[in-house]
Formats: sequence, structure tokens, C-alpha cells
Amino acid sequence: MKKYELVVIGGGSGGMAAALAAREQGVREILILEQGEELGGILLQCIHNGFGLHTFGEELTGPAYAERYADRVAAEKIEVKTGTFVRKLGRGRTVSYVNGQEGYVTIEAGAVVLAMGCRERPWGAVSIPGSRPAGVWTAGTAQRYLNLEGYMVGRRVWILGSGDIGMIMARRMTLEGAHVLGVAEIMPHPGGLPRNRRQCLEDFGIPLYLSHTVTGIRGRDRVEAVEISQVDGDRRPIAGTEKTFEVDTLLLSVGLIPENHLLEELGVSLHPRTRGAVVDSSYETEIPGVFACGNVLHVHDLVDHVSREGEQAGRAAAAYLKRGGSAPGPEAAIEAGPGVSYVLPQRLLLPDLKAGQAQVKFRPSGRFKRARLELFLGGRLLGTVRKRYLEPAVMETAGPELFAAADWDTWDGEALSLRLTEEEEEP
Amino acid sequence: MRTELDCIVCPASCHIRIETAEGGEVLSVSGNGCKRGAQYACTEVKNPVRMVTGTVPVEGGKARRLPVVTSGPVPREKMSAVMEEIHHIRVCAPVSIDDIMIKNVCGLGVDVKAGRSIGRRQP
Amino acid sequence: MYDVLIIGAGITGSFLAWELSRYELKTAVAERENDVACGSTMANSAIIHGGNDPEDGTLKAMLNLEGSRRYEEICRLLKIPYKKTGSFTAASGREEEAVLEKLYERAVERGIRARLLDGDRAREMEPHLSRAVTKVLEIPDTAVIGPWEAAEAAMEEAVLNGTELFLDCEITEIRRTEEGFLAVSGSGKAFSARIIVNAAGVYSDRIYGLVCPARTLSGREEPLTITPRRGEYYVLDRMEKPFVSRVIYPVPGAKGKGVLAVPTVHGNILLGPDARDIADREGTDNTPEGLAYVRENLDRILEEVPYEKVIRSFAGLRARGNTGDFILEEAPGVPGFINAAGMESPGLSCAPAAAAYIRKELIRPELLGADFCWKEKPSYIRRKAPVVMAELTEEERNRIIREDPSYGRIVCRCEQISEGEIAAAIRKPVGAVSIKGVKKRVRPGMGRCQGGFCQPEVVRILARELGIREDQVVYDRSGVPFLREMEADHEKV
Repeated sequence: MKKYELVVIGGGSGGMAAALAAREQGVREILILEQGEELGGILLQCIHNGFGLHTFGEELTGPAYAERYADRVAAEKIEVKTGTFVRKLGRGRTVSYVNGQEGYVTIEAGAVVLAMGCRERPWGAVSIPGSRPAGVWTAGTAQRYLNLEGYMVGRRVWILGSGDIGMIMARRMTLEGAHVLGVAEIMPHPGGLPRNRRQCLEDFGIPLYLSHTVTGIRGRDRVEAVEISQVDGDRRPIAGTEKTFEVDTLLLSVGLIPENHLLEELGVSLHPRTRGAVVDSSYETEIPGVFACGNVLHVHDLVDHVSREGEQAGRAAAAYLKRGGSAPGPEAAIEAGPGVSYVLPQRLLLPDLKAGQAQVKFRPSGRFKRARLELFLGGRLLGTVRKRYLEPAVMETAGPELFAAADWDTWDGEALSLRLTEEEEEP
Repeated sequence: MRTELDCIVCPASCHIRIETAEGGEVLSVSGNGCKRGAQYACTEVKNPVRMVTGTVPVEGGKARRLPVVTSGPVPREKMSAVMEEIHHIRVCAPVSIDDIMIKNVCGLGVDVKAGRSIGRRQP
Repeated sequence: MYDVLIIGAGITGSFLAWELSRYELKTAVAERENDVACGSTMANSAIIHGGNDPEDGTLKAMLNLEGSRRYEEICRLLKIPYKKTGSFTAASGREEEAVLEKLYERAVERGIRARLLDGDRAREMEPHLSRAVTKVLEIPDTAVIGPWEAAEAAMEEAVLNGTELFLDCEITEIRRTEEGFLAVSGSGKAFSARIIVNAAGVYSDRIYGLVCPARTLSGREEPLTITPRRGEYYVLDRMEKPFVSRVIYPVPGAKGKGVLAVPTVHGNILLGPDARDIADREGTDNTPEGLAYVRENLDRILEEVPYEKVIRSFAGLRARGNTGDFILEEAPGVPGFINAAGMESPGLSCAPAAAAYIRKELIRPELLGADFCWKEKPSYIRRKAPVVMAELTEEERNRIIREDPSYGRIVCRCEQISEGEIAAAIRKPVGAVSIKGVKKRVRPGMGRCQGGFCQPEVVRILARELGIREDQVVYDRSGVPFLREMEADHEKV
């Protein structure tokens, strides 16, 4: 069985960053396995610009961002197998893949970085009443048809879900000559970033219907109309508020789900909120030597963050290889408390806490203008950080300032929890 | 005239109100939390600009479509004119990133350039 | 001149074509859709019932028993999946237990293996069975199959042995002639046939009306009418530990077998159906009420139903006749016109037996010529089993990939299906011509992403294999616009 020091599964932004970071740390035998025909992953179809402000200090398109990384992977002579599907991961870090050139192959890896990205929540999972005609696509699939394949998917379009992909597709379809009649968002607030609301919807006069959802699809063979209804506080459609719009296409932007079949098949339990693996502060999963980063771990809103996380995972994998094992030391579990949707990593290494190097990412469960982010150990408050303007669409981080005040020498193994509370306006 | 918009400069998303005179001159800006917000609001009202991206067909390439992007922002009302020009582009592989597809598009002083490199497809 | 024209290529028409293809006979099949198995066959519970449910003396009872006995061997011959999962019929309380005991007695009388279990014993075998369940009837020979795979395989073998299949061919006119019939399609294709078998599913009353406006039935006052009875379902994603390992029925009621949980041959779970009579023969809509009904009723017999694993909901129409039984007879007053109508549940379980019954009992040899007798063909061509990479050993897979690397290119991540398998499903006889046709045969799009990743790849492969442009590829029905080439679209706008 052929052996590599590091196998990276997925050649998108997370995987490329992980491989490059590991190389920088001196890892020699690295293999990237990529399902697509070239490196880049989903970035290749994200032709809009706005990527890389943090990483490169300029705004790039998705393909340009990917190309910079792919060029570096090539310059570092990191081995890449494209058109390669990974079927199985073994607990002993065996990786089974298949492609047209080699067939079914199993290799051994000193360490593995999972960077398979995410998939879109499909039509079936949202159970929209009505018919099931042609003309309903997830926004990402439509994006691929337009941007990679060269096909328009429709002329009169409705979009369900105001996440960034939905709004970006509203603009894209409009610029290509389609008429986007509206975007329905089941929540009372928009899903995506204000910038996309402005530049993708308002610029083109596309109405956004908050607290609305699609309650019916009409048309036997091709979509002919959609029915929209207002929803109540429990997101249930309110009878009598139905409006019908004649469209030939419905795009769905109703959520992204980490693509974790490899871990699920191993029986690894996924975090109920992130739907990704549970990791420690070195991004190591419960399987020793298997690390995770990017959208397969939790769905990100910025590619720059994916690249950073890839680097962290890549460096941690390199350290694991050097050390010949996982990072030593007890771990403190950290959980999301009130106001917080999830915290990541879910386990913090005590040495990191002591050294003041611990860092967490979290997502608020609602919107906050001025919030106190508090770290609790049982009922005891260990640290407070003030945050402003939080919203679920934007991932936040908190670093040493949150953990510095605590006395980690007396920590007794109890779980930590993170809470967010809205602060009263200052007088 | 009064215009309202949500600021996109930072996550605060301030709701900004701008009063303009008939000639377009900004009379007042309110609701902004910082100077950058005021600046954004003024530009947005007086002369909003946007980057334009699109795709064009490629002959003989490893990929079918070449993404293209303007080298800088263009006035918002010129976006569809730029798209119209983009729709006429036809390219043959190989293409290198930043290759210029249209120079000085619509006389706006910006170019339309290749958003990525595309190598030749092996026969 | 055809000896037999079959109208409709659902499970009934396909198995009849298969049955007839063994004999020296000229057979044609006319199907209005662009594929076989597009109606009820595409959307049902996929079960081969044991046969204890239908009332004594019905065709349903007779043909179900026969069908149930034959299916395993038929699936082996046709090289399609068949899984004997067994079934539980779950009763809660005295009243239902009494019905259950009757079902048990009927099973014993009909020679169907059966036993009664108490609730606790049954829950040991099916842990998600509701605590409210007090008694269970176990039928170990209940099985599941792939209904559309069965229709397609049967039709493929029929075609390999000389049956002519005409797709996109809706019969709109039937005239009686001296020798039999002249049937004409909407597009003008004419078929002369000595015998017509009407297996047109929810449209079978209309087809009968073309030749006999009174739609007369033997021994009945009222004309043949078909009422589409809609059934809605959920599909659950595959799980490491399937939610149920057997078909779980409630105690049957007035409107059929009730809401079931069915482990499919592909490892998914079907939950449903409800039963609602509707007017629209194309009305396969999902409704909030229908799906709520499924959930409510299911929660009576099962616990912890993992609705979060739902990857799709769908609805199918049962072609319900107005006699309470299948309508399998030569039309009174129209010699040679045979109705195979009202093939509602257990129509799938009965289809091969119904086909044999039609051939033996209803197709009168004298109508096929003075000297006609049933003569088997000297040699019969069996269909080639499709390559299913997932079912092969690694050595076998690698041997195939060495010959054709496209079998190593995984197109569908969820179901792990290769380009080679998809291309083969398009190239083969009775091959796929649409995205849905590919999905029916090799399952890309059936998995958890529902085609989000693989659909554009499937479009490319379909276009290449069919020799058409990608913007001519259809999702399902022919002629329905799907994609528009971008540059052409700009010119139009």
C-alpha cells in the first residue's frame, strides 16, 4: 500500500491552504485528492468579485482567488489527483479513492485533512407543496449551469432564500437578461450580507419579501407559477396571504450542509448545529491524525476564513506528523450557551489556554447591537468581551482576551460555555 | 431629494439618510456611525459604481467558459451596457488571467479582462 | 399488421409485452411518454405483498398469490433487485387485533407463511415499532422490488425478442376494422392490430372510450371509470442503521392498506401513502394535508420517525377502477379489445400473473388467425445485466475500469455512480432519453443531494450519447424546455 505523509481530501480553498501550510512546515509527501477536473472547488463557479480582501488585500473573483492558490500548489510541486473520488476513510487513516486512470486504490496516510466542502440543502428537504416539474434548481446548481456550462436556466425567476448565493444568483440572472420577480425569505431578516442586499437586489429593484415562503409550485412539466405566503412567528404560512407569480424557474437557496459522508460512514457523530466533525483546538477530529477545515467542518461566509482554517489544520497536521501523535494535554470542552448558535473548536487544549493561545469561532443565534460575550465555567463567569453588531450571517472570533482572566491551573475538567447577552444602551 | 440606504462598509449596517439638492449636490448625511459611512453614502448617491463580471464561451479550452471581470468599477447605470459588450466576446484557449478582452470598454476607462487562465484541451 | 397492440408501458403493459415476447407473435407497445414506467409504476410502495389482504374470490387475491410466488424467480431472470424483507402488520388494541386474526386466518387458508407475535416480541425485531402496538402479524415472504426497474427490464427483454416499442406515442383514435383495429397516435402513427390490450393506467377508461363510447363492462350497469387515487410519500436518506428492516403496515382500513414504512431495495425508506380521490389524472401534487396525514398515521405504529432524514416527497396516482377489483376482461361487444384496467394495489404484485392471465384466458387464439397456436420462440434472448459497480469486488471493478476508464469517473457522489454506468443506461435497449430516465435506471439524483452536483454532468452525458445538443436534453417529458444555450438566449432577448 502506498504511503503519504499527508493526504488532503478536497482541492478547494481549504484543502489547498492546508496542503501549502503543511508544506511550509516541511511536510514532503503530500497528496491532494480532488473530485473535479481541476483545483479550486466551488470558487470556480463563483465568478463575482469580493474574495480575498483579507488574504491578498484586494478583491478578486472566485476563479482568480483559486488560481493564486493553485499556482502555489503547482510551484510547491504538491501532488494532485483530479477527477478522483474518495470513497472511504479508515480509522487507521487509510484512504480509498477511485479515478479513471488507476481504478480503485487504497493508500495510507500519516495524517489526513478533510476539506470536502459542503452541499446545498435540496428541494426535497424543504417539502414545498405542489407539483415537481422541471425548472426548480438549487441556486448553486443554477450557478454552475450559467458560469461553468454556459446555459440559462430560465427567463422569469423566483428565488426562495435570501442567503448570499440566492442574492448573487438574482443579480447574475438579471444581468444575463432574466426577470427576477422576487426573493422570499422565511425569516424576518435577510439571510445574506448587507452588501449583497444592496448590490444584488436593490440595484436591480428586485423585491425582497421577508417573513415569506413559497407555499406552492404550479406547472405539470415546467414551472408555470409559484405561490408565496407570509409566515407567522413560528414560520407557519398564514392563510389568506397567498400571492401567485408567473415564473418558469424557482431557485432555492435554503442552506448548506457539510459534505461529511466519509465521517458518517465511519460512525463519527457530527455536531448537531454545525453538522461537521467535533474538533479540538488543533482542528483534529475524534479520529487521531484526521483533521478538518473549511465548509466540511462548518459553513463559512468568507473564503478568506476558509483559507485561514485550512492553514491552521495544515499546520496542525504537520505538527502531528512531527510529534508522531496528537497534541498532548487535557482538553476543556466548550459549548454554545444562550445567544450562541455554535462554538468551534468544541474542545480547547489546556496548554493552549494556559499559554494564552486559545481562539474560538462562534456564530450568534440572533442579531445583537451591543453584546457581552461571556465565558462561563458552570455558574462562574471567567471572562467577558464586548462585541458589536453581530448577526447570524457573520462568523465571529474571540481570542486570548476572553480566556486570559481565568486561572487555568485550578481548572477541574468541567465544561466551558459561551453566552451572548444584549447590553443596555449606555446612558 | 431624500435617499435611504443600509451602509455596507462594516457589519454595523447603519441606516443612512441622505438629502440631495436637485443638481445632485449632497446637503446632509445622517444615521451614519463613521466617516467612511458618510463617504460611501455620498458616492452611492452621486455616482454609484460597481464591478461587472460575466462569462464568455471559450473554444478549445479545458474549461467551457471564461469568467471575465472589469479592471475597475464602472458607473452603476453602465452595467448593462458593459454586459452587452461582454456578450460579444468569443475566445480561443489558451487564455491567461488578466488578459485583456476589451480595452476601455464603452469608453469608461476600464478594461474587461480574463478572470482566470484556461489551458488548451488535449485533443 | 400486429397481432397484439399494447397501449401503455407501465408495469402491466411491460410484463404483458414480456410474457408475449416468448411466443411467435408480432407485438407493438404504444406509450404516450418518452419512457416506460412513467405513471403509477413510477410512484408506488414498491411492495410484493404476501397476498392475504385481498378479499376471497377476487382477481386481486388470485393474481397476488400467483405473483408473489413467481416474483423472486422473475427478478432473478430479469437481473433486477428483489429483497424479501418480510412484513409486520401492526395492531393496537382489541378491535384491531380481531382484524389481524382474520388476516392471519386468511393467510393460513391461502398457504401464505404467517405468524402472530405479541407487541414485545415484535419490538425486539423492529425497535421503532410503537409501544402502543399490542399484536403483530408477520408475513416473512413479503418482498420489495424496484418497480420501474422491473418494467424497464421486462420491456427491454421484450424488445430484444422482437417487441416494437413506440414512445411519445399517445393513441388518440381507435377504429374497428375487418381484421381487428386501427389505432392512430396524435402524431399520426397508425397501428393495425388484431388485438388491443388497454393497459393505459389512469387513462384506461378514456382509451376504452375511443373504441366503445359506452365503456361497457360485463355484468354491470355502469361504464368503466377510473378515479385517480393520489398517494403521497416521503423518502428517507439511507442510514447506517435503517429505520425499519421490514415493511410495516397498519391494520388495513376502508381506503386500502394505510400508511406504511417500506425499506426499499436501494436502502432508502418510503413513508406513505395517504389516499385521496382526485379528478386530475396528472395531479401528482404534494399537499400539506397529505403529508401531514402520512405523519399522523405513521406515528401511530412507529416511534422516533426520523423526518429530518427526508430527502424527497412525491405523490403517485393509483388507477382505481369502479368495480372494487381489477378489470381484466375482453370488452363486451368489442371482440379482441381487452381491458387491463383498474390495476390499483396490489397491481405491482400481480403484474406478471396478470400478464399470464391475459395471455392464457383473454387473448383468444382464434382472433390471431385460424391456424394460430401458442408457439414458444426457439431461442429467447436474455437481457444483459447492467454493470453495477457498487455490487462488484474491487478486482472486478478495476478490470472494468482498465477496459473503460469512464467506469472510474464517479459522477454521482451520493450513490457513487460512474459515468460508464450512466452512459450504458442510455445506450442499452429501452435506454434513458431524459434526466429522469437516467435517474430511474442508475439513480444519480436519487441520493441526498438530489442531483445538485451531478445533474450538469448527466446532461453532458445524455447529449453525447443521444447525439443531441445539451440544450435539447429534457428533464422528463419530451418537448419541455429545460436549458437554453446562453449565447442563443442573448440573441433572443
